[in-house]
Amino acid sequence: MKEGVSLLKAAQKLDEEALTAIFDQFAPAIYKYTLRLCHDSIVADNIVGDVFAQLLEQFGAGKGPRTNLRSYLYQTAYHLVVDRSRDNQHTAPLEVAAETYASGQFAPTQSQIEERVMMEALISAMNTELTEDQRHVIILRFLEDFSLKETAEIIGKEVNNIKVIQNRGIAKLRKAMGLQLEEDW
Amino acid sequence: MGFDPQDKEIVRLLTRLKDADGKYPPDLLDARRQRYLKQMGQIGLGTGVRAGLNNAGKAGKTPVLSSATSTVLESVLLVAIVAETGTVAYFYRDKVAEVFHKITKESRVQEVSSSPSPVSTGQEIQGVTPSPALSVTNPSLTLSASPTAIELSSTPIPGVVDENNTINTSSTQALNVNNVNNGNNGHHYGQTPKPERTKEPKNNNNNNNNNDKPPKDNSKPPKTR
Repeated sequence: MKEGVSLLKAAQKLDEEALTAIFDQFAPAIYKYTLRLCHDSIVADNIVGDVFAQLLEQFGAGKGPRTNLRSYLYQTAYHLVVDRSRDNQHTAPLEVAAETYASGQFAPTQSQIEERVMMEALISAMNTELTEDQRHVIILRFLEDFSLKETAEIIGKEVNNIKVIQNRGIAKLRKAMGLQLEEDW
Repeated sequence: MGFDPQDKEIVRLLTRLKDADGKYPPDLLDARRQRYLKQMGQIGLGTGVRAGLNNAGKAGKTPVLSSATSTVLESVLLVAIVAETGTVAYFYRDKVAEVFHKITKESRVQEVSSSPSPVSTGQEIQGVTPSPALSVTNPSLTLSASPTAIELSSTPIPGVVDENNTINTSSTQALNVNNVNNGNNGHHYGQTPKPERTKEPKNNNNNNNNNDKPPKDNSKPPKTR
């Protein structure tokens, strides 16, 4: 399988194998990212379809990403999610993650129960305490493993601004987690 | 990037959360993949057509030729055009000559028709508009007895003294009788018959100048005081 720059170059020439490889490689990740943001599997699936349709159009027009395909795909997904969230305010973020933890994937030991409680508190804090920008930055930085520069490119802000948003978001989470943990205890 | 110990715990929890989210459902993924492959085929077809058009456009560009070659080709083309024109003109020379002859003939006829009537050339009368009366000067017409011709000839032409004219006047007077008999007096100048007086005026001594006025009636009764 072609990788990296050669895959991107082949995709720019509309090589079917390369385009199929791009979908197989990035579609599950884009779906997961979108699901974290919009918390609806159907909407996430539709956004994945829109992301790759736009990619094909760009390649067909001789445009599209030149260097970082992954950032480009996430950026497209981010804009689509933001557009949808403006149209339809959905206030049930990260339900899927909470359900996953509630379904008992982890062994119910004492330490794991404690961690599960912390994870639920974290999910709740992300849902309620963070602003939209902070949530996007936190997800891209720590759940999708993007660098500061890539995150800045995806969201369309400066790196320093991303740093500030990230630190404020973490501080809010820490504060919320401490408060919730104190309440739980 | 360094974090505080408390922040590190948050970051660790976040990274644990990364593996916790749901995966792409296989049925949704397969359906989405099929649609993607279909779109890819359409885009590929469109780009194939576009690429073909681009290649055709590139092939349609003028080939790179030297200026000498193009000059030679232009002169050869010019010679060929001249030779073809000459050959065609030679084969159809009769028709071409006929056409030219016809054109020149038509122009001559137009010149003749636009010239003035021969009457004006025959009679050099200045200041008089050509009238049919002049045709009477023709000796053949003087012998004819047609009333219209003679009637027209009777019109005197001022300022023109001609022997033929005098002769025609006399013949007109003779023939005017025929016109009166026909009941067509006409209202031409000099042809209206003078009305005949039935009564002689009684007193012509008083008003010689006013002959047209009726005579005064002097038979008034005398005034009585």
